[in-house]
This record gives sequence, C-alpha cells and structure tokens, in this order.
Amino acid sequence: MSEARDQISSYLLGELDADQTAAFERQIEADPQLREEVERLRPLVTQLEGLPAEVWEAPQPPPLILPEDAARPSSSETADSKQSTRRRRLRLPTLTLRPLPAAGLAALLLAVGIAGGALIGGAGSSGGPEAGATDLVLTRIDDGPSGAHGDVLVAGDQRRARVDVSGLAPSGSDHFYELWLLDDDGRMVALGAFQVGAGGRTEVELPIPVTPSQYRYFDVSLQEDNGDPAHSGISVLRGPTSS
Amino acid sequence: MTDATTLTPALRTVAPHCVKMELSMPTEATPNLEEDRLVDRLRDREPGALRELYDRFGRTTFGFLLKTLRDRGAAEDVQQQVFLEVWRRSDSFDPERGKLLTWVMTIARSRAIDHMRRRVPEPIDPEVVARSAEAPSGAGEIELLVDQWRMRALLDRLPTAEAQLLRLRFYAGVSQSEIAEREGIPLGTVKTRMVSGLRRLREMIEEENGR
Repeated sequence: MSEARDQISSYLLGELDADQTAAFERQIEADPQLREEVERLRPLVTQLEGLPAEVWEAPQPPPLILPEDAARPSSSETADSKQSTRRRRLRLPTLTLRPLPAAGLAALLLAVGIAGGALIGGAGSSGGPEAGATDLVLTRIDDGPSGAHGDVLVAGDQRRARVDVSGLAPSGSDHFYELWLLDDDGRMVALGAFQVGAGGRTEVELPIPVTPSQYRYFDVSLQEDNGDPAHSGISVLRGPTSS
Repeated sequence: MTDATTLTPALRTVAPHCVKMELSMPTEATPNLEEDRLVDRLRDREPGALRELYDRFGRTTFGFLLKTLRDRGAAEDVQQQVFLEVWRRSDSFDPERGKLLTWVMTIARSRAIDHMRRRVPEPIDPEVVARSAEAPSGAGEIELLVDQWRMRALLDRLPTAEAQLLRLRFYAGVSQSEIAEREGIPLGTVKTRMVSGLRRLREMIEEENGR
C-alpha cells in the first residue's frame, strides 16, 4: 500500500511508463482507498497543470493607501521612513558563509537560547526596545521571495532586537527562519529562530548576546528542521548592523 | 512580545521531541487560528489588521484584477477600493458562511465587474476596444479567474518545501526525478512531498469551499 502511495504522484503526473501505468491501475482497481485518493487528487493536478504562468508569477501589488483609522505607524516605522524605504531597494551582495564548527555553535545556540528566554520573559509587555532604538532595514537577497522585507529594531542598550519581517513564505512544519549576526570573514552568531505563518509576516523579539556593531550584517536564513545548528546557506533577508 | 510560534535555539537543541510534538498538530490548525485572530482584529478595527490582510491577500487580488481588467491603472484603483470596502465591511464578515479569502475574492470580483460595466460604453479608441476584447467577458471566465487566483493564495500557504516542489513541477515543468537530481534529495522524498503537498492543497480547497 505504501509503495503504491509513492506511485500516486508519478501516475497522476504521467511519469510512469505503459507497463507501470497498467500495473498501478490494477492496484487502483483492487484498492478502493487508493482509488479514492487518486480520484480526489486528479482534478487538482489538472487544475495545477492549467494554471497560467501569470498566476505563478503573481505581480507585486501596489502599496495600500490605508484609511486613516486603519493606519498607525508600527514601531519600525520611524521618522526616518523615507530613508528606510530607499534603503529597502538596495541589493546587498550575497556572502559565502563559512559556519563555525558545529559543536561550538551548538553550545553558543544553547547559551543564546537560555539567555533569550530569560530576557524575553523579563521584557514582558513593557513595550519593547523603542527608547534610543536603531531601526535597521532588512532587504531581500537572492534566496528571498520577491516582496520580502523587514526591519530590525535594536534596543538602545543593544541587548535586544525586535525583528519584523513580511512577505516571506510560510515556514511550515519542517522549516523555520533564524536571525543571525554575521561578518565578511564568515564569523556568525545565531540570535534565535522563529516561524512565519500563512500571512508571511512575523514580529518577534530576540536577545542579542554580543555587540552587533562587531558584525557587518543581520541575516535571516531559512533553516530545515533537521537538527543541524549551522547556517543553512539559504539567506532570504539581510541588512547592515548600523544605519 | 514573543509569540507562541517562536522557537529559541535552546528549545531546538535541548528538547527536539517537544518541538516535534508541537509541530505534529493538525496542519490546518495554525492557519485557522491565525485567520480567526485576524478576523477578530478586523472586527475590532484594530490598526494594523488591514495591513496584515493586505500582506496576506493583496498579491492575489491584484493579480486577479490585473488579469480581469487588463489595465494596470484600473487594477490599482479597484485594488484600493476592494481593501477599503473590506475594512469598512469587516463587521459583516461571517466566518460561518465562508473563509476570509473567499470573502475578499468575492468583493474583488464584484468591484471588477462594476468597473467593467462602467467602462463598456466608453471605448472609442481602437486600442481600448482591442484591450476590452481581450478581457474576460463571460461570468464563467471570471469565475475561472477567481478560482485560479484563489488557488494561488492557497499555494502561498503551503510549507515552503512543498510549495517549491509544486512550483518546480507545475510551473517550471520539471519532472520528479529531475527535481530529485537538481535539489539533491531522494526521489522517494520528492514523491512523498508531492503527494503531501497535493493532499494539503486539496484539504485547503475543500475547507475554502465549506466542505
């Protein structure tokens, strides 16, 4: 049954040869459950095959002009918003990442995580790191979906950061996103992981255990939930650590 | 501040089994909860809710309007009207009668039809006439476009790995074995993810259709 299930997609996508197709159709005849599954997915495959390219390539919508009562500047939209918008359009170079040895990084992640839990808990609903904060723009880079953008609001004491990302693909159950500090020479520190839901937007607060200015970039990576603590090499957003 | 979906590195490193337990919840639970929360925020007229709704559906409605109206300026105008109406009428949205995406697309469809009706007597310039001829004329064609763009919105909700796989297969036309080779993953994994992505998409469509 499980072997037959593996063949469902190949059958529906027309990737079986004549003998394999005949054999699979015999299995379908003999297995009502398998037949039901195939019949349930068949129209969907037809729909997907008929989806025009422009649907896949969906254009970027224009910015929404918010009615007055729906507009409120978020914490990441400072008086410097014009400059922020301009910087968002800049494209930063992609770095070649050379992760730290996994064991050392795992220890660091553990320390960051414990510290993060304590700091975030302590921050409570005090309103976050607005006082003296620095707003830094994250810009989409090669692996990021078009329209992805974000901000990192670093607290005045440089111990916490509020990350606001939009336009990212949902992370799903087997992936997550991770915020890093990284440098040109491959030095990097993981600041914490988060998930992005269907809306493509998430706002999280994370502790910063090091001095951000000692690194060149904030970087958001897409990580597979495979237990590997190293940077996946798939960066979706990146921005400088100083404005 | 930190929402419930945040996973710290420590949690992932020390207690992966806990994470797995959380992640093994029914796949539709998170989107439903998120949508419910967004609906509540829209009804409470919470600033920021409309922006989030736009982040979620703006691309879908705009794609639909652009294809339906065949005029970027008109599509941009109608797009604004749609979301203004969504904001003003958010009290009247009844989750018992349909999902948020379907409701927003219904408004987009209505405003697109209004716009087309208004402009029908106007075209005199042959170029405008030609563009109008390319635009969808029948109700059936508009319904097809609504379905196609709704599908796009649902594809965006799939987990990244599954969405990427469906995109490679159905948009780029890459076979499963080529995907496996290209992505460096076993063919069996590709097939499993393909079926799981299709199944998840099917469930979301059924949910949207109220089945």
